[in-house]
Amino acid sequence: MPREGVAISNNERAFILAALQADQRIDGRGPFDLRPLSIDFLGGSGPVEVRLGQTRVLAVVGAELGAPWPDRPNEGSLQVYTEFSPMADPAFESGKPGEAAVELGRIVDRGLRESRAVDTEALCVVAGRAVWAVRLDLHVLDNGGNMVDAANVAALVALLAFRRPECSVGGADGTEIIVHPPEERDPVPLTIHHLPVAVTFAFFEEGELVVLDPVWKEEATMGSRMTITVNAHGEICAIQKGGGVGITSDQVLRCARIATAKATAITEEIRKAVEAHEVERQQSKVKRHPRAPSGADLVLSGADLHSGSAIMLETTQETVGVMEVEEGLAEGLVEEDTDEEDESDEEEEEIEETPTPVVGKSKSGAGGAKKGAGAFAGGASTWLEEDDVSGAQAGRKRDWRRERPAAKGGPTAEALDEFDQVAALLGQKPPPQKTSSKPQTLLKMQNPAKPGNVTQPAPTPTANFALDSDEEEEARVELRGEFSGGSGKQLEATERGGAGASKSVGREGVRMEVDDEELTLEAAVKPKARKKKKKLKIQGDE
Amino acid sequence: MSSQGSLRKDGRTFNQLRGMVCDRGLLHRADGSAKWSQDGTSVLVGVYGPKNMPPKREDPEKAVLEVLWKPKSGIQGPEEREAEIILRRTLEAVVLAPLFPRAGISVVVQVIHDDGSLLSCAINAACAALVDAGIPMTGLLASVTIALAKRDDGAGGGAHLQLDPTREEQDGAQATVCLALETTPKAATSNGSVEGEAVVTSTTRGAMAIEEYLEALDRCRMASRTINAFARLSLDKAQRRLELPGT
Repeated sequence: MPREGVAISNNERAFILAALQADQRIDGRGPFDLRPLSIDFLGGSGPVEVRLGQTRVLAVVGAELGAPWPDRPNEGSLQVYTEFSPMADPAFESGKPGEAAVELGRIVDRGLRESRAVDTEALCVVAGRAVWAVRLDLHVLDNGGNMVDAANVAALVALLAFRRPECSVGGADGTEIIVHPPEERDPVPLTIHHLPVAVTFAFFEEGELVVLDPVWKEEATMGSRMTITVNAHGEICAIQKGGGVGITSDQVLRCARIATAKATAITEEIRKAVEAHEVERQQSKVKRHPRAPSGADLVLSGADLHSGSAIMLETTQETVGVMEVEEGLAEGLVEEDTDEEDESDEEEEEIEETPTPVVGKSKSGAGGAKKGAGAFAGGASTWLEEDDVSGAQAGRKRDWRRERPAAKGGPTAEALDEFDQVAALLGQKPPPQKTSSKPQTLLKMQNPAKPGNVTQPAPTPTANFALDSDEEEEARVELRGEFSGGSGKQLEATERGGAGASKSVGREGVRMEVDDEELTLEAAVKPKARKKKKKLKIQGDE
Repeated sequence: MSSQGSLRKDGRTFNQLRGMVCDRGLLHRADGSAKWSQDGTSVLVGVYGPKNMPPKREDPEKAVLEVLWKPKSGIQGPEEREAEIILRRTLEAVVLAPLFPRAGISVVVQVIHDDGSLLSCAINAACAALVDAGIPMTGLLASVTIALAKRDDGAGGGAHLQLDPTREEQDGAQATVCLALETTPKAATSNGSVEGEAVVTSTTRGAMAIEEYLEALDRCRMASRTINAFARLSLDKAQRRLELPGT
């Protein structure tokens, strides 16, 4: 049952069939192997992105309070909207969803709603008057085949991770419905009884050849398709087979059995990912600072152009923390350092996305979701290793944050003092500190822990106390642009070791850059794995 | 803005951009794709092209650019249509369309999360996606948004110009300016090539004084250099990854 508009040549079709006859699939999988599944949380109660092999689906959940359907006054509603984005396939067009999109939406919807997986009665606030209407948007971003299964997983994960505002009935006359903002009361999860997982099979020739989780070329070749939605308890929630080549009842049974086994495995992955995400969400609540600065500091100190005063290079709380740790450790502890830095970057990243950080990327099941195989997290430079740690070990970062300050103890407090001193020198009041370990300051200080470093007073013109290790440890790509008033000068891209061109101290120190009439532009983009390399560099040099 | 002191709610100074992340080549079916994130704001753009165009819509002299803007949730409204138009005009200014007569270039924008500066993020992402698709352009686009905080909030002077605002800052601002600048290599001088920036697109909301606008333009110019440098490094890394053996 080839889809309309699918561009696959007859040769390819013949090849795929011939290979299947010989028990070979074009991507080398076994006939009943699933592709790697990876689940990414793109922020809080926000979108969830699921990748099943090359297929990529985004799921967004929202909820609104409204009147119930007249025939169901006690129940809320769940609406599934499916969209095949034109970016997913050259054959997809924008506008009204086509047949395939509608079918996909219906399969997901049936699995969730009609099997009572999502409890709609729990969505009722005041019977007959106010119920929650949950809206699920599925965007297919990349059609690598078997969008149904991927979309279903995305829907499940998004619904599990979704939190709706808590509301209560009260008010003056006792009938007013008050919706509590998330700051006031924690939003509550949806009531989900079980997880219906969709598993799709493709049949070829006269229904003799079966494969699981077809790739898009296999889909273009197949004779018919069957989707079985089953949960981990072995209950079949839905079976969808629409037209095409007929199959025997034996095959249906066989597929149902295989589907149950696969559903168990997929359910496990879903639970793992959601739990990890929940842990991160809870932890971020605890550690969250109201003024979470961004990890990659692109500092454009504009206004100091004419004032000639000290130009502060911003740092982040996490950065400071990292620096302290870095400094405290001897050069020998390279790996540890880099891990911390990476973790801290992770953390910065996480904190940026306020309610919940991006942990899911690394915590997802198969697929090792490091921020995309080609993820360039902020100005990666040439020495960046392939295993970009931007997505790695967020959990470890958490540990670091909990343990390190305790272990270190001293540097944090000392650094704070230093900050205060320098701040006082500059005539600024010390930065307000929300937590004891994370000073929020603009000033970059030389870390006192490092032997031989002297904290120089800021107002020294061109105070470039470049610590030896600083430049190396400047894992980020430092883009130094020096501009004076109106004439834009060239931007110097300072990469590792190029600190000579730059005038600022390494990341971990307090960096006082005083340029009289110049604007210093420092772009420090997400350091991530660059830090790792940097450290190794230090090793080599020292 | 004075260097002393006032920070924004997320700890940045007024001239500080948010951390940027650029992923290239994410999608397998699309000719080019890029996901650009500025902290909370994240946009994924997929590009198809140059591709066949139905005869009704083709242009015999150049490629036709079409932009589709998909909101995170819900259907397109007038705001999305406006964003499509702005983005299309911006891209048309830099894409070398006459190289592909009667063809079409399709740019699909998917909003993943909006925490302010959405249009800027989308322009940056679209430029990166076009590069990923190998569509020739006259220069690279860099876009940044500036919010003018309400006067009584500012610390005086130019203090209320906020670069790369968050959603909250953007909504509470008296005015916002979104600028897209194109950086083109100019004729080589004796020192080597000198780049210049040209304003391709300027979208403002709210009223502001002329001086404020010009100052915002100035800040954007500086910020665009940073963004371009970042984009170049990102591309560099993406290229390098392709060249690595066994990748």
